[in-house]
Amino acid sequence: MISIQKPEDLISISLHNIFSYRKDEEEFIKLVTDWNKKIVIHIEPYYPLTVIFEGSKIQFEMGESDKVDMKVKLNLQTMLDFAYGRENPIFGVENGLMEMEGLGNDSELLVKFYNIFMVSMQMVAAEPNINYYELNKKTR
Amino acid sequence: MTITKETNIFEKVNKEEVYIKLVEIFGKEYVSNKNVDLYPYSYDMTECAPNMPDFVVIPENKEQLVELVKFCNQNIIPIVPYISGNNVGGLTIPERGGIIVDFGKKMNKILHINENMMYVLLEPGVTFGQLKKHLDDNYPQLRYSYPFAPPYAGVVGNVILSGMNNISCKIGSMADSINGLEVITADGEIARIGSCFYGKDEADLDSWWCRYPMPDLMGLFINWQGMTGLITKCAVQLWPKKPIQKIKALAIFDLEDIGKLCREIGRTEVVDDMAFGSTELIKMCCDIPEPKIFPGESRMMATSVITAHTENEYKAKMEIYLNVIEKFREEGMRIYPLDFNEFIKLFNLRLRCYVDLPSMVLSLVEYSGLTWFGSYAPTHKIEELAKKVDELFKKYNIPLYLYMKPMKYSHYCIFRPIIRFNKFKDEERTHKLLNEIVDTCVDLGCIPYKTPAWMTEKMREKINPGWVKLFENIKKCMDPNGIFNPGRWNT
Repeated sequence: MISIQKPEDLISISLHNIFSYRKDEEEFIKLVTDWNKKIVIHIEPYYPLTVIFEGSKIQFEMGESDKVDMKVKLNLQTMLDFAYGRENPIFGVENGLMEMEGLGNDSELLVKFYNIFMVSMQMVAAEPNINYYELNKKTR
Repeated sequence: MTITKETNIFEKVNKEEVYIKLVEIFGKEYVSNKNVDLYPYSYDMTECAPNMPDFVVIPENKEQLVELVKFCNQNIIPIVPYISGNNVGGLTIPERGGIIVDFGKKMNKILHINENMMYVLLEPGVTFGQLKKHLDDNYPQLRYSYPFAPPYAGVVGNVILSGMNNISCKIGSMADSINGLEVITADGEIARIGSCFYGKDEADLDSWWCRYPMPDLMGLFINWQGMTGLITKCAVQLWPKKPIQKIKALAIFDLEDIGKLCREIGRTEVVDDMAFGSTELIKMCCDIPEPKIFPGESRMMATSVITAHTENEYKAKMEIYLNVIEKFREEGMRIYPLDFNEFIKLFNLRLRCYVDLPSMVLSLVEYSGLTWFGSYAPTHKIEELAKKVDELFKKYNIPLYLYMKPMKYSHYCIFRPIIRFNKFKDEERTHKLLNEIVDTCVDLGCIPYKTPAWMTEKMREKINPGWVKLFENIKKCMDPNGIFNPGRWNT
């Protein structure tokens, strides 16, 4: 069981929505539990946001925290393009659609980021239901 | 708790006799004078003072109502029309007691749909949800225009009070889409207004197709808040449902830009509807109880609905829409266009409630009180209105819930600051804020609609005396004994 902080700013509300979609999924729980990383995600034209994975908790902090493990910068339209499959996030770094800092040689960090952020976004985007009242009836 | 005001409305006939007469007209089952039945009609969500009615009746047909009006006119007993009590203006609170006529229970039939001339003939109690379901099930090629209201709100109440709707950018006020009315006047006569005026007895069901070109008597009933007669039928226009409908969103970072956007996008004539909501309003819809604005956040979100018969038509409309956006961006406006459906899935699906109308935005009514300054506003004053209203909300430390939309391709707009509040706790603060909003907005030329009596009292000080005199003369002429919803507009 993971807990996701209920946020109050726009970007965190969106990430809360995306992560909540998978919060009861075994694979997602395995991915985030004890990851213990701080990831800065800057969705332009909005502000940078630090997503803190700690134990079984996911928390949000507006701005860039100290000692972050990774920084990612992309714009909102690119985020939608990745989510809806119009652009490939892997090539997105190569062709400058997404900037990443702090990867070093840690390929596991990149894979986890991809599986936690990008795959979750793609899953939410692929959800055929667009009626809120039919969504996540059990967990809402 | 509702305090009953002292009235002397039973001078001519005593209350027991009234009850006997009402039972004779409507039948015992459909008349009540019990407090337990009357209480729900004594108040609404707003700050307007409650008051108990003396009776509630549930009519089934106009013959009963003719008899009721004659009886009430003779004995000077107030009649207050009621559909579902969802107006946000205290309009069905029986200011002087009397008889509530609840149309919502039995006079709620969809009487006729004319596919060729695209209109529907309704009894007063029909709700938006009922009409939408009926059209979707039986006439999928047609649509009605729905306001930002729950499905259980009444259609006729909204049109007759000039509500807005979700094709307002194209058609303007709902009242403009009325084709015809059937009304009972104070003397108990039944009058049909509009193209349905031919014929001595019942009108042909297919004759409710237009409002003009005879003298427009509809003005005697529109926006009068039930003060001039009882409406028993209303025909409203329907619209073709186009195969392509897409919604574009716009994140707006500076509040002062909403005026330019409203005016310029509206006048492109490519948008059926455009609605602006403040970020705090959006957050409230995502279940954040007391939303705040943080540095770096956009201040408003606008949605624009674009419809088309073909992909080519859609592309042409989009080109025009995006050209305006691009021009503003080049000028340095901090706006960001998005596809609404794509964005909303990732952000929070709840926001679809804003566009899938009619719908219930639960968080809007989760406190015990809800009120607003719903107004028609001059579009050239939007910048000033937004700035001043934002300052007022800040002064009272209340989140800015602002909703706005261009009407009729931006000839005018709807400007609506909304306040939800806890009754008996925040009422005083809410009322103070609303008072200041009224003063500010009326000074800038706004005209409130579905206006509560305390607000019309303020407006009367600013309206030209000739208008007030004409208005009062008409009221006296239409309702000499003051039986129709007395107290509204301080009559």
